[in-house]
Amino acid sequence: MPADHRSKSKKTVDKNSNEYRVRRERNNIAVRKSRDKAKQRNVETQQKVLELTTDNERLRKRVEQLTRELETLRGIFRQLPESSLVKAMGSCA
Amino acid sequence: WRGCSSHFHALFPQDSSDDMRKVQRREKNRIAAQKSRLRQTQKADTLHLESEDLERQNAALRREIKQLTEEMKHFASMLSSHEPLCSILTSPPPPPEVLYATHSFHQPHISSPRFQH
Repeated sequence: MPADHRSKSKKTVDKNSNEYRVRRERNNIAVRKSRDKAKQRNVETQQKVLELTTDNERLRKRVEQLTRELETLRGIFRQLPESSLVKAMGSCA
Repeated sequence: WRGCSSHFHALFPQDSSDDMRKVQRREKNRIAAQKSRLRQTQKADTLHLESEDLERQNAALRREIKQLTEEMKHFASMLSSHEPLCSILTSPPPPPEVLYATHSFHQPHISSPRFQH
C-alpha cells in the first residue's frame, strides 16, 4: 500500500492560521518558479535540437561535396605521369 | 456472512462501499498522476540526450570537414607545383576536345578558383 504522507507528520496543522497561509503562499510561489524554470529549459532544449538538426544537415552536405571534389582530384592525379609531379613536402594525405 | 453485510449496508447509507469507491478513485488518480509525471520526465530526458547526441555528431562533422579541406589544400598545392611541368599545357595547344577529355571537368585544372576555398 502506498504511504499516506498526510497523516504521518508530527505537527498537527491549523489550516486557518496565518503562519500556515504564509508558508503555503511561499511554497506556492516556489513551486510556480520551479515549474516555470523547468518549462523554460525544455523550450530552450527543443530550440537547440532544431538548430543542431539543421546545422547537421548543412555539414553533411558539405562533407559530401568535399568528398566528391577530392575524388575528382584524385582521379586527375592518377592520370598524370609521375614525371610531371613535384615531390610533396611533409606527410602525404 | 453475505446476508449480514447487505443488512449492514441498508442501515448505513453513507457507508463503506462509497468510501471504497472514493479510495479506489483516489488510488487510480494517484497512479495516473504518477504515470503522467514519469512520462514527462522521460520526455525531457530523451530530448536532452538527443541534444547531446547532435552536438557530438556536429563536432565530428566539423572535424571531418577540417580534414577534408586540408586534403584539398594539399591537392591544390600539388596542382600548382605541377602546372609548370604539365605536358598538356607545355605542348602546342591541342584542339579543345582533348583538354576536356583528359581533365574531365569544365575548366582547365590550373589555379581553378574552385579549389582555392
